[in-house]
Amino acid sequence: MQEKTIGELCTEKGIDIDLFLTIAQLHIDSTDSFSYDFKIDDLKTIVSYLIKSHEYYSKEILPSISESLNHLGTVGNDITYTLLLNFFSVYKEEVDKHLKYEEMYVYPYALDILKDPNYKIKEYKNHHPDIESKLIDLKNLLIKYLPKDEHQILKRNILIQLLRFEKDLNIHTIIEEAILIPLIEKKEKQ
Amino acid sequence: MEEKKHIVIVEPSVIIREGISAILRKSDSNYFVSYFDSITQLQSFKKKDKVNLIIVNSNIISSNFSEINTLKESFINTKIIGLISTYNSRILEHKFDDYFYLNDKTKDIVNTVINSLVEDKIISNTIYKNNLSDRETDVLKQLVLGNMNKSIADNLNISIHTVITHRKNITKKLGIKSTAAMAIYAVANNIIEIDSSLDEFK
Repeated sequence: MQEKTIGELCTEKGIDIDLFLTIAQLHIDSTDSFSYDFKIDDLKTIVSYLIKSHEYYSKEILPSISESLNHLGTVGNDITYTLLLNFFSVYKEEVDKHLKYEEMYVYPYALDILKDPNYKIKEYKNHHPDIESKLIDLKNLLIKYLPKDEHQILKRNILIQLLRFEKDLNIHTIIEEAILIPLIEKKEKQ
Repeated sequence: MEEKKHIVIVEPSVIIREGISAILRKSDSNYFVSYFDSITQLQSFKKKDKVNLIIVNSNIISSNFSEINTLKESFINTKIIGLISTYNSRILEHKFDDYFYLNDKTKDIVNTVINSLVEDKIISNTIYKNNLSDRETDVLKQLVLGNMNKSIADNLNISIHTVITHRKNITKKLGIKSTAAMAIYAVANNIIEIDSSLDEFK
């Protein structure tokens, strides 16, 4: 990459630069009113971004949080930490299931790969599951309710990991609900 | 005479806002209710300091967090209640000081409003929270042991409705929604002890 501009990189990868900047901007200001006018043709790039971020969650972020919690459980020697790790494992499974569903139905449908005349995006829109609330529970447990001991640094690091994940997940949800779903609906009407 | 409480409803649907307004005015004649179609419209309202409570339909903020954040900034001392009208918008619950559902019973809606008007915003955010009442602790124990609303009601000799209210308050006070996380809270705070009945959480 070195000294290339964002414009050059986008051209190389065949990505619309305005689309790229609009999505990148979300990481600074998570709004859902955009100056960019999303086109049906953008679906390919958007879906590929969403798939990449799924990969990032399931291969990097979630395992590294598990690892940290596991470590805390090992050194912490408190039943609470074991419960916390279990809580997270169950949560992780839920998230994985949610991501798999999107990869199997929603994204292929967006790209016309899934040709099921009975499938409509409305199903997904009405049942977009809430994967953020357990994350908030976990955060509050860490901030307020865990035993005070010599492992505060470990806990703080886990909290930082969770906060970063939460922020990314928020943006992910905005992309799905405010960009992806409306675009697919637009396409369904055609 | 006590000054009237000014409640603002931000809701484009006439049916819904007139409905909420009717419920509130029936419960207490001392409410003054006014309407706005959108948050933008409310922002241009001049007498912001005269507003005692704001009720916003979660649908109109959708995933636009910046709008609700600006609203909070312009009304630092006013509580904002969310009207959660769709399954989807449940993720927004924590963005509000309190919330009720579109299909909630009159009593729940009125209670949510009364509680929000009574509690001072700052106090309720600090001291009031994380201080479960004895009854709430009883309900928490039952929940953590895996009991459903019906059996909790039977065990504690209270109505299901009361159980639900307690649950709602526990979640509000602790900032914890799932039963599994409540279990961890209960163990960490010695409300329950780990024994065979908790095996499923290990």
